Amino acid sequence: MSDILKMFTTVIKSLFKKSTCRQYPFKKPVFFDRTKGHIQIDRERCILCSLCDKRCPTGAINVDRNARTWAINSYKCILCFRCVEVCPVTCLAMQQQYSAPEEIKKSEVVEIPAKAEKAKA
Amino acid sequence: MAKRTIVPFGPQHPVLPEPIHLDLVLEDEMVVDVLPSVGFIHRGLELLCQKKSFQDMVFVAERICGICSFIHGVGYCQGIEKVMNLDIPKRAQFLRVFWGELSRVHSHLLWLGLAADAIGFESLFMHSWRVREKVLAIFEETTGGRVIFGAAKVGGVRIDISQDKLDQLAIALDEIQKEYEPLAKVFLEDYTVQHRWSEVGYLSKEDAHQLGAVGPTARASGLPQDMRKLRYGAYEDLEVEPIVETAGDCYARCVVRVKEIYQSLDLMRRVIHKIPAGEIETKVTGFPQGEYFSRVEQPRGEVVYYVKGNGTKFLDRFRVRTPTFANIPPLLQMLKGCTLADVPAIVLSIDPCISCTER
Amino acid sequence: MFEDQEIVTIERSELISRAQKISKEGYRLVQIGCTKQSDHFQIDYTFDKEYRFYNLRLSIPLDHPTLPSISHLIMPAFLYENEMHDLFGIQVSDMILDYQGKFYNIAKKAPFATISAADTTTEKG
Repeated sequence: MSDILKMFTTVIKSLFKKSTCRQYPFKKPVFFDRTKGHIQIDRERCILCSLCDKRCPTGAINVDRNARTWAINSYKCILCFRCVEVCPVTCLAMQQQYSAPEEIKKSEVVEIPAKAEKAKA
Repeated sequence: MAKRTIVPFGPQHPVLPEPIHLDLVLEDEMVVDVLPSVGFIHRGLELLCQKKSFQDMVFVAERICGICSFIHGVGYCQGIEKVMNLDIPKRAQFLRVFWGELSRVHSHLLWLGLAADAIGFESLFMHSWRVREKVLAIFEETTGGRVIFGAAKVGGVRIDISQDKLDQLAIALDEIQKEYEPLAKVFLEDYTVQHRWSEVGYLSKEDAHQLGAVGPTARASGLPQDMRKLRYGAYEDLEVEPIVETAGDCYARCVVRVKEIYQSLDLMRRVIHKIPAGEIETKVTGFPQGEYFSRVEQPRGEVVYYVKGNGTKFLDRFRVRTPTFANIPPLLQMLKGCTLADVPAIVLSIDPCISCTER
Repeated sequence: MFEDQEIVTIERSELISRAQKISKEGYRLVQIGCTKQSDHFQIDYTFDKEYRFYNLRLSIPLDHPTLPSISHLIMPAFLYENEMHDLFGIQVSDMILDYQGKFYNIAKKAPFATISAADTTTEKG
């Protein structure tokens, strides 16, 4: 009986306390600065140096200089921040929102406009 | 002599969602012999060192286990750093200890929850995991990841925690301790928990040493064995005394873990108090050449990393001996002479992480 | 601070006697590891006594590698010896528990000895 009483305070507290779980659709989760969501590219600033491609530990990023495309396979990406760190023009950024579910695993291809390079040159 | 029956246990078992299979040889209700089988999910991660550069291997090392991932990364980095003779900044070493000890709290709370669940104490399970959730929130706030942080790197750490943040974390740690105290009291004093675990799965001190038990399994049998006593990294400046229990049964293993959470919380406070300012990483140039056995203490015990570099960016050999692998022989010893109903409790008491074992 | 590690190179024939001696001295087995080198297998028997690291190292040829088992002296060795057999194809004789290649459920025999960096497509790193 005394053992039950020992837990009694916890039980009473749980009864009157606010719920520990977040009521999801009504209350959105809080994201932190470093929350790993997905990688986003600022296509205007990218100079196609392909450093992110070389340094990606899983080979998720693919840069094609001739076709002027930057592609990321978010199913391979482990959100390690490596590309964000190495990017010389800081055009890559970690977004806090998780990537949306998809039916097939495919790369997301971003075309880099040519004018970006001209402006740089 | 009673008739012998062989009862298979696992690889799928409600109490243990990890694939270990035991062939239990029973005489009536008594287990007389055990034959273990692992290897259902062998991944061959060690061989990946031929494909990934030594810097990328940190990410692989972190993924050996989903619970003590950070300490796996640190153990690997430490091996490489010794081989390359890198001098790691003090701040980075203290940060490693901070996340490492927080991982220990997280892992032990997870185990306490699972163990409470295994004995049918559902509310205790939920309360343990409620506290654990706060620990995970600290992880997410400081590193961005809840389980796999990617914070360790060869030559230091990748993320710094500002002093303001550290002061806030000190308050958060106090809150965690306050919430944890009533829980610990239940584990230490409650009749139900004691009744289920006392004198179950006994392992003598001699057997623990002979069979190579590590971590809480060894410490619960009276062996003061804790790899943090090797004073690696920032443990040079932080004194750690192993928590030892002498009973050697499942309950002693539980008590060791309950007390280790207090010890880890205390260590983290000392880290926040002592952490020096400065750089968080050193520049890494060249490739590793040489070998080292890096030993660190994980929540489950001693883990050994063998790294051998050959002067190229790929390692010659990367070998991990995880604590659960070392704890299987003691487990077999514990199981001999117990009843069938105690088997799940005993298997759980070594905190088995079969996914670690099958790296 | 890094610990001092004592690595002693021994002959294959000495293994049993050395293992017997060291286990009598009260060392515990930490691990047995195998490393494939260009012309031999390097086998490491790691022991520990009160944080003192002691390693016995021996080399055996790549063709038909065999080893005597030390599992009747040090019981936990059988796990590592079975692991070596499955991953490197090393025949270990007189193990107290021989899984006969069924310790790890793997598709290929002795993968760690046969797969080399040249066989696999090297990813950029």
